[in-house]
Amino acid sequence: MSYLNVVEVEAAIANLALAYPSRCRLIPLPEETVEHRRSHALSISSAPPGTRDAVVILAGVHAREWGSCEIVVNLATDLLRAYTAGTGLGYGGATYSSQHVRRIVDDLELVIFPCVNPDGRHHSQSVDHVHDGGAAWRKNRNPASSDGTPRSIGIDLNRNYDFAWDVRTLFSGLPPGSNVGSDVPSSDVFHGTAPFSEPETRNVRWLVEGRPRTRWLVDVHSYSEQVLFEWGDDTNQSTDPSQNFANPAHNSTRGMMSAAYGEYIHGDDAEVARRLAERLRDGISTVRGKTYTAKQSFALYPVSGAVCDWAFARHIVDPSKGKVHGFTIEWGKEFIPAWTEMAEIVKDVTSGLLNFCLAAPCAGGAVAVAPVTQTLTFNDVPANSTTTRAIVVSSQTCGALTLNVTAGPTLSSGAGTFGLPLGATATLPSAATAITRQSLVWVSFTAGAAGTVATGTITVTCTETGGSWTIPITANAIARPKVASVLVLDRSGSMDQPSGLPGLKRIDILHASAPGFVGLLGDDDAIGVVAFDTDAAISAPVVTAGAPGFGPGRLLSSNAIGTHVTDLLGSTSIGDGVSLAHDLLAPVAGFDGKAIVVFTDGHENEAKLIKDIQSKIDDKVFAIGLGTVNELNPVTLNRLVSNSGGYLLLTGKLDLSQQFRLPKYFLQVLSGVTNREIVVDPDGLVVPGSTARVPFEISEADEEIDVVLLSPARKVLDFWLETPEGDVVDPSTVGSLAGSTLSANEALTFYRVALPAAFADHGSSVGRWYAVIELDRRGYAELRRSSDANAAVGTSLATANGIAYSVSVQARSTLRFDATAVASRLEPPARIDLSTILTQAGLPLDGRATVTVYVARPSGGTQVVTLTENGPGEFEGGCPAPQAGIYECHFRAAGTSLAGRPFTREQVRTVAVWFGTEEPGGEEPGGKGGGERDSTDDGPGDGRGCDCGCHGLVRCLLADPGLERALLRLDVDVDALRRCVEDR
Amino acid sequence: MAASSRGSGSAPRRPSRKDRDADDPGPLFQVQITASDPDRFGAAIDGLDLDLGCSGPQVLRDGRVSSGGLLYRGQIDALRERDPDMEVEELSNFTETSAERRKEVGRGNRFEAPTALPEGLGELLRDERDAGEVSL
Repeated sequence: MSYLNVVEVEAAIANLALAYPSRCRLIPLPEETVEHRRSHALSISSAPPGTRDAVVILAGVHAREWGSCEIVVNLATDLLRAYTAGTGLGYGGATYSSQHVRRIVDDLELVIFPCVNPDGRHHSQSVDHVHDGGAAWRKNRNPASSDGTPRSIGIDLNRNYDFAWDVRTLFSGLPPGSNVGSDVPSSDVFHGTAPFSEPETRNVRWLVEGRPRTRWLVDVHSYSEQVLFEWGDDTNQSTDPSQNFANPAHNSTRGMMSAAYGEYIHGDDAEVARRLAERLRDGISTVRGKTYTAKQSFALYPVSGAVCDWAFARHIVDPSKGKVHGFTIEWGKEFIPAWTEMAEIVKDVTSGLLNFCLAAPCAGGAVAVAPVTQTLTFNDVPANSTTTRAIVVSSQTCGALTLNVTAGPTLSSGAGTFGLPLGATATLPSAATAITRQSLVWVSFTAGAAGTVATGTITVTCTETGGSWTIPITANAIARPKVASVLVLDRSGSMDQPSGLPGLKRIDILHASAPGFVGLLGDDDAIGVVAFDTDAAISAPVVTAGAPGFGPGRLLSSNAIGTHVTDLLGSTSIGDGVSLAHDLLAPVAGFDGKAIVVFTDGHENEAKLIKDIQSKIDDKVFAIGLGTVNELNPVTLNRLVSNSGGYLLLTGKLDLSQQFRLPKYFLQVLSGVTNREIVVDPDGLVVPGSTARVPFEISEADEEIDVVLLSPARKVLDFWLETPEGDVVDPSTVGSLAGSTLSANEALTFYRVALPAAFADHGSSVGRWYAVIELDRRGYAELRRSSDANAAVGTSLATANGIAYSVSVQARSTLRFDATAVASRLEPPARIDLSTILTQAGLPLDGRATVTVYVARPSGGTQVVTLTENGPGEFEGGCPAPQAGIYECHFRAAGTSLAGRPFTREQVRTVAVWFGTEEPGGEEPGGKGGGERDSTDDGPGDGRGCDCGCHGLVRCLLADPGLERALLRLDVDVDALRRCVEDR
Repeated sequence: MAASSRGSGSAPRRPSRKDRDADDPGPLFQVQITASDPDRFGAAIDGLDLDLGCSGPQVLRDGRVSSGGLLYRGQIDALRERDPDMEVEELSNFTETSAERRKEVGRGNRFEAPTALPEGLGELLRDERDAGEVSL
């Protein structure tokens, strides 16, 4: 063999693919060159494509470096014939056994692109005149920027990749004319008109991007007898991540070999790159003693837009892409040696590449380890609470690794305590390849008083290397936002009436729902209870909730709810209840907010009325109305909540399908009181012997999650969480997670998990979690047989097929979702105006989400409304409300956070419209509990509340969809009739 | 019809042989240029638009800076004129040697026959032992 022309390069690899079809295949590259040449690469592996880590080897990038193509064609040829013959390979003093050959072909995929720049090579090999560059031609042959000047033809392909390509901006401190790259077409290092402007570089990109398992890239060039590794734009440094190619603050100092700037590379990456370059060098030198130098690519002058830097930078620019270490071989001492010398160089470099391939999977035997965490920071930890953070140590080795905390964590100043929740040692087992792995050393911080700052240090030592790193720790404590709230609960006579759920009075479902509010409060929040009918009384004073399950505030309030009984002769004085709650909260100090939550099932009919106590509504007020619009008084209840920051929720008529509505309203109101976000809130059914998995997305904005299970038969359900990494958080493991608990009371069971959840080898936070509910057959059978009263209730609420459940996931988060639903008018037909605002850390989430509202109509059926983003993070829309009754509007937002992570948010609002007077079914003060009036449905056809005139009657009739359909069948123009009535 | 070069303002103009002869910079030489320090190296080459090869200038252990390159006679003279202390070693006449190398490039297609395979330069070796390590 002597030098190959471009036709022969292509033919040679095509024939190899034909000769060894089970070990290699030809890969056609997608882009045609300017001179219409088609290129191919050759994939060598005995394994199916994509199933092995890949080494991409490029050659023939610079036209005049003829021998590069011959080197890689020889590499392919030797490997294939030796593998097939079952032999080893020898090159002078270097020998490789048959086992080595098999390891390369069986365990790796070699992707050889032998002639990246065929147009340039053809020009170099065939055009004589020196004026046209002749044999010295370096670039491709694209004439687009040449303006007819021969020397201005072509682009230096190794300045055309998307790494620090904009040389004039990113290297503005360099003098013009340096070798870094150029935007002048006549330059030999002209970088083209844009990154990847050239078909040849796009072919390389296609080859790498199409092989996610590419881990190494070797670019074969000449000359200078060197093996180079990343980076090429400036001196490597591993201490300041802010000094990097993407940071414009360093544009005036980049590439100048000054102390002001060095390109950041993780310490373990730098070690692996150096070690593998040395293995490549050693493979070369052993053949006949050539002394190549292994060194970082940057020496005196930087390069921009080079393929090796681009390959390595990809995983930094886009962490979803794999890490590719890039190497450049500069063979020989001249561009075009006599073939006799070139043949020897072919052997040298083939040996080097074989040695590299053998060393690469285990990083050349290196134990490369370095901390990723430069400073461990605990930002804004709520006072007296514990949270965890990990020191991340990156390593690349096939060997086992042990990290020990050899000093600390020590508190140097300030308040708080540091700890090691998972111990002082972190280990990694040995591995088949040295792909990057991370070890985590978990450190906990228990914050001191609000406003305090703590500093400290911890020293981590690697047993295998002796490397030791002292990491500074900083932390600060903030006041946990805490809320004092009072539940104002109706005990009028109507509370003894059926609730709509089988076997349960209204008072029963209050008993089953309100404890959820108490149980899920934050430990530092405070809670009290007021009961009202004709008058109001304090059932529980406002006391700090305390620890989950048994904190004093929780116990007092839970007891008050449990002993909350109906006064059969009692009237309804909501004003008395709210007034007393206000007086109860007034002297309570030290809270960031105060809230009153009113629960009622009827009209107020006893002084004080709400209108009498308007001056006392200075807290955030929420109201939950149990019943229909005719049983309640949405106007006065809205007066209670409007402008307070709270809102009103109305249940409508309940039936078995809405058994979770009231407890979920209490949970949602709690989220409004405590400023937590609802991530998801689905209902479901788990059948015996099966598992229900409820997915939910956690983003970087979420700091703590509560995963709540509601079910009438929780005692026969197993309930646990699965993290994005597959860890199980269950009753046996939750205690080992700092800041995490499992708690239960009469209404609910919930996991509270501080994020990230610390596990031995990773932290779980961002990603898709699952709440898992399992019902075993035996437990279900026992439940159905049980004579226990509670079980009987549970059974009555379960179905014949399984157990109903509801999972609610709430998060303490900076990603906020506020929703509003209001009726355009009180009487139907009305329009419901829907609007939401999405923010993260106070910034609008602009163009990152969709918001859909599922509007459940009073007569059944759901209308789906997709809101339009009319401003950054602001969504609006609406839907008609043609019928009287309660519309439940379920808002769902889905999108990506500022860091590009999926998230969801949910909220429910209710809207009431009705016929007739402003206050539906109004009753004079002095009557009995409002619920005694009538509890029938307030849907269409219910004439109560309509005004008495003819117009009101017609409006009522037109609100009935059945009648509307009948009229349409009779060709009656219903819309015209409706307009006529409205016009009157 | 004969092609006209008039009135086609934006079309690239290929220089005539006469033009090229008039502008001919002469042969290229492969050189090794060395300066006593980076500053002197930079000052010497500034604005000369030199082709310094693939890997660019390197700092030697003694602090000097050295780079290979392909230079025309005029560029070599300009360098020497700018800094008489700069070493400019002419290693070969690249134009002449590359013309010789062209004779070593394959003609036609030596692999036109699908069964024609490249000859590998490595020696196929029967294993004499189970090699755990590469023999280097």
